Amino acid sequence: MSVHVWECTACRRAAFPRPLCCPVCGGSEFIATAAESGVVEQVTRAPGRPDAAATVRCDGGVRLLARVPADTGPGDRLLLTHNADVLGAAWVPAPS
Amino acid sequence: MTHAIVGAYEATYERHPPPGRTTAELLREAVVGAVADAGLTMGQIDGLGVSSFTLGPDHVIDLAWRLGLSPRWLMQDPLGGASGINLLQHAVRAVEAGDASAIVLVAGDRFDRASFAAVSDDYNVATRDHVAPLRFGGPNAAFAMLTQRHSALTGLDERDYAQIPVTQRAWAADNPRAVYRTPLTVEEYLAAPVVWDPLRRYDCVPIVAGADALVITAAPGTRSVRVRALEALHNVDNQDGAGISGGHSRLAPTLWERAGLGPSDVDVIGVYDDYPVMVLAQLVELGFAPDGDVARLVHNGIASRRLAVNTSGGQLSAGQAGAAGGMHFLVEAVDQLRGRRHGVPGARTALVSGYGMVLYRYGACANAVVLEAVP
Repeated sequence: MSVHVWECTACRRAAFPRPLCCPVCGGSEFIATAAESGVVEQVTRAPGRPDAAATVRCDGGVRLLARVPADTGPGDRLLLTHNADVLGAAWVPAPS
Repeated sequence: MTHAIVGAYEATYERHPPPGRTTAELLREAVVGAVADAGLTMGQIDGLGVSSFTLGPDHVIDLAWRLGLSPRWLMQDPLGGASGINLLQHAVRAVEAGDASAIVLVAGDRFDRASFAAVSDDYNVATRDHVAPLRFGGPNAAFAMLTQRHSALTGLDERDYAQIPVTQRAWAADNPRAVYRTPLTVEEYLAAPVVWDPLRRYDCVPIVAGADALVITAAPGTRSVRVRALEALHNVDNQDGAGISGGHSRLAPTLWERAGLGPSDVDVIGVYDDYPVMVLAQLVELGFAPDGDVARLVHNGIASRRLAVNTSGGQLSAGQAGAAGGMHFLVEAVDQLRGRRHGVPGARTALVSGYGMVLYRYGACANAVVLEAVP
């Protein structure tokens, strides 16, 4: 279980979503790397929703918007997934 | 060559517009109103710039055709809360260069809940692919988290943030164009439903139908307004930061230097207020809290009305008419500088700050303009 973040093949800078050019070195080749987990930085909840919205910083440093379980708190480490059906993880949508 | 803003008009904002008040009709109403305000005729207009999320499938040339204009200069801007100042930046140069002699800039949308949702879910590729499927219902969740980051950094609490919508509502009492003018208390703010924690109802702009327009000419008119300085800086951090400090802080030194003024010199301030936190972020970036004391800025500057911030009531009280949000503060500033509005008698200078275009986690566009009255 993981999400794809993008790494510049020239300077290794990570990005999400996939850029056209690297903002650091200008390179335009990227490889998909698997980010398996991340640390929750902020969580927000809306009344009546069974889940929560979060900013999750994955180990490569990229910050992602994700849907997380309602009882998630800042500092929690969660598994990352592109699969909306996985319970207990941070869901980061991406076109299949 | 020189330039002058000689006309300004706001088509009435409405929460529930009648069916015939389409986006094109709103734009027409604002264009005709601004041209009349400038003392010109439609036949004298040779430049047209437009910003609208819902004009499509029409473009600026369709609008020119439908308005009966034959422009020498056309521009279409999709940059939302930054579009008004962006259009102004180009229009000033166009009339100064002689590419056009009288430009009308117009921005507006007939927004309702359904059309707003359609636009916000398909805002850009990143949003369509990676945010809209989350069904967070637009940008409120992202700005709730941005507010949390700002609160952690500044120490502000919910009663501090409440001062922004509460004070803007007090200004709106003097603005017959604002859709909400009934005084709002901090207690009412706190009692309102939470939207996304910590954002409550009054932190979120009411969606309205409306439009705003300006006329810029090469020759000064009676009681016109000119640009002293205008700066822009977009996408400064590739969405990797906190979204609190970015383009405005980097453009501010050049803006004030070119204006020959400082933050303490301006009489009227208009700051794009999609959320209260962004009012504070932009004001701090632009130098209105030189000692870094944001709580003092909130209470001694904004809430005390020592600073005339968002004197129309801002979008939080006047309403957010889609892309008109980027033009609204310019129209308000021009009206204040021309003595057309209550609130800031004798105002000579104004600052207007634009912000917008949420790429993924927060807005990426930043611009600002210093305006002055020309007697």
